[in-house]
Amino acid sequence: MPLFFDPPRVHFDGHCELQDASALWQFLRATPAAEVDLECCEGMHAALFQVLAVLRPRIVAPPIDPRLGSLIEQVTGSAP
Amino acid sequence: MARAKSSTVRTRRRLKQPAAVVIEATVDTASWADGADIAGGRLPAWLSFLADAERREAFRRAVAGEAVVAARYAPAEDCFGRGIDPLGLMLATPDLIALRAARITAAPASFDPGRCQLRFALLAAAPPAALDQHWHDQRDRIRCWPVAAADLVLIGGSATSAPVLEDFSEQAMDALAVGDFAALATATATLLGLMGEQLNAVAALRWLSLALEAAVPDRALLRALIEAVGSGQFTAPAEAVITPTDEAVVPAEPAAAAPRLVADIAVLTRDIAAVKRCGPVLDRKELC
Repeated sequence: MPLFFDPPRVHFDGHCELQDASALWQFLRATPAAEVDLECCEGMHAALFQVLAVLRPRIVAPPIDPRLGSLIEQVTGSAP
Repeated sequence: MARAKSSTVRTRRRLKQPAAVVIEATVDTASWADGADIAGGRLPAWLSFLADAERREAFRRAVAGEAVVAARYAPAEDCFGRGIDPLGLMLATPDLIALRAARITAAPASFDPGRCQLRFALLAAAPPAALDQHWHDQRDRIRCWPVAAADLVLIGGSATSAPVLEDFSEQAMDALAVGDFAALATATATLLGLMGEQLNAVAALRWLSLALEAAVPDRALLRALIEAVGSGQFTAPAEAVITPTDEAVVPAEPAAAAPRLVADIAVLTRDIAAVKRCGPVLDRKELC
């Protein structure tokens, strides 16, 4: 599974797909001060990106692709 | 859950480099996500938010004759269920220069993660046919605008009306008239090296320098930028787009024009040196 939940932190690994969006949504809503580690994230479906944009969690490490990292920083307002 | 770091960490280290696309952290996305346009509807409003590096890159590509396209993408709400990944589609756009994203819903309470609420805006230097092919069945959700080099020129900084700038503009126009682009480039570079950073004239000189890098410089654009060096105001020419039929103009008197301009620059250099002795920066209305 490309999402690893280690409260209050969630780690993305590899390419995270559409089916992970619901779990991410539930985790971030249920976890106060949740943190997102994208260090091993190779990419993500727009559905996960959208969850990050809506809940704006703290990003503790950017993803591999600097373009994706810049977009996430833009929509979350969180710079690692 | 304990997690072992994957090999992507090493990949990440290899790829760790300055972002090719600089995205501003605070972007007023509402104006473009809702579809606002500027320049009488000819251009998307989000072009106003381009970072300097993005703006320069797009300008460089445009004056080189490449097609620069701005686009806004409004995916359908049910696109996820139809196997569409709007983010992946945007990130893989050919020759992407800038990309912005926004969500159009504000309240998490009313948010459905299965429905797409995203909007994207981008700038790419790719032929329209290549973009059409890449966007494929999403093409009808994407609005495009052709972007000319002049659309990207933004001149900021302190106003100045130094006589040396007026002299430069006058002599640069003479060089332009005879098609002596090499002398014009030399003069531009020389003056750039002598001026302070925060002047609108310097901004104009930088755009002029970039425009002169083109194999076949756009004369109308050069003229407008030279005028901007003297006035601090840029007015886009009526047609600033390079056309394939724009002939390479053979200088009428290159041998005569070049030494004259270089000599004029030498005079300007002395003037500027004198000005520098009078003050730290060239940002006053009256110099010496």
